[in-house]
Amino acid sequence: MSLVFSFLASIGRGTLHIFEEVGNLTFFIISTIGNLFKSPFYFKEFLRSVVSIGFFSLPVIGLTALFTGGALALQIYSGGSRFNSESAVPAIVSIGMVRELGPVLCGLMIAGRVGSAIAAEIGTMKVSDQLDALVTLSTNPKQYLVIPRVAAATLVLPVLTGVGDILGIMGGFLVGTLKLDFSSQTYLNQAVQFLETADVVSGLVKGAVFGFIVATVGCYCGFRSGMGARGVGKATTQAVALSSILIIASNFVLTEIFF
Amino acid sequence: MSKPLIQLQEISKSFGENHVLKKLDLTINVGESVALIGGSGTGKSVALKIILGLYHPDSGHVLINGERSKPPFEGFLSQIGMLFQGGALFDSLPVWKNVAFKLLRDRKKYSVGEARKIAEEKLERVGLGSEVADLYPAELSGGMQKRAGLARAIADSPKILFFDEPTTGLDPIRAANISALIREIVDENSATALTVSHDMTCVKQIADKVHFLKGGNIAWSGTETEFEHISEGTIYHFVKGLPDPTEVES
Repeated sequence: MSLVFSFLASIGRGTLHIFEEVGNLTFFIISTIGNLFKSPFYFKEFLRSVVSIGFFSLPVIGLTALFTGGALALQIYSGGSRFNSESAVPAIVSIGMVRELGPVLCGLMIAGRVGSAIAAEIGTMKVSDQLDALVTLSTNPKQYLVIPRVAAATLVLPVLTGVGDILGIMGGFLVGTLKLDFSSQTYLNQAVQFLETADVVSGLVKGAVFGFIVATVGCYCGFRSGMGARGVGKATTQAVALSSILIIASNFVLTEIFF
Repeated sequence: MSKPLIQLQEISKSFGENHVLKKLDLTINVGESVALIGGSGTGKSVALKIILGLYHPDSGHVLINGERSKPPFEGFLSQIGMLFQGGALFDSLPVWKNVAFKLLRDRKKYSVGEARKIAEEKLERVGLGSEVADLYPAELSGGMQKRAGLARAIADSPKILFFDEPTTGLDPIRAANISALIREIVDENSATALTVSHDMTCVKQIADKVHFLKGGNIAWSGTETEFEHISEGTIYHFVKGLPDPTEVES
């Protein structure tokens, strides 16, 4: 009987913990949005974040998009050839990259590269008293650390998504012209012809939302980090896992909205 | 008589089942240099963090200048300097920007050049040459980080200073130097100071008044002279590093 009770108690504890985390994260997101428009705005920290999130992520985003575009072209050609639709490869690659794969891959790669780094940096600051030091130096740690990172990620991710879209289409173009015997003129014409402004806008909006998610979750996990190296490690893992799940889930919601 | 600068009234604080502070009362008057001593885990640093508004007490009140305050104590924090146990320097900034952090926030009062000049002066003051100004904290030894932390604490010559274990992790000579330096700075600025420490030599050098924390409350209080001549009780055993016969070993 006691085993049943302890089993039920563990389910109850787990459920309460999930609700607590959801509540805390929601409160953190709301306070972050509120603080985005408050002064002081630490512009140097913002610029530093733009460079570290945006510029230094370009190689990762570029290579991921390029290879994914190429693989997509091969897969669509393989599937399309079963019902004589090989000619749809350029259009589907460009629409697929711009509407879906570009922003999602960009968000996930940034979650791995930047979300983890933000959580680790803030977590380490917490365990080494640097967050408390900020308070004693009359500086609000959230205003100083969270707002510049969230603002930078939200503004930079659409740019990275745009770069990823272009390189993804280029990957498809290279595979299409070098391996699948498309003429370069035909491929480019078809890739652009069926692309609409709404496709591009929806992809860029997704990028901005994913940027907001990655930075906010990274900061949240850093601030909630436990003590010691183990605590920081756990916070880093949580930041990547949580932001990846939220990116996938919000991608579905956004796709529904733009459908 | 003027109001005490800081007063803790019946402060209690628990972490889970661990009741760290139990109705702690503590008063610090203007111009006093007070030391809070006690064994590990007796709540010295917790009391300090409650004064700074970094922890919220479960019950009780914090009075600043006789007025009940609720964190964040923004006006109060703008007047203080704090030395953390590990220095707590910001890894992403060079040493001089760490020292001048507060000055650089107040750009109406200090230009970047002026802030750097003051930072270098303060670094000299704590025995670090200006050659460390452009290094990053990770490039400094533990003792140098602590001294840079002290330079940051005194950057805008505050009238209220807090020191959390200022000599922990330093060799005896450096510890004595830091203690002497702290005493000098406190006297120079006629500052009010609260020091949390395990180091009895440091306490004797820095403090005018000593409070011994045990079981979540003040178990002994006295002046530095009384502290020097203490000859019995739990605090005597603590100061001399002897086992306390009143304590049953678990």
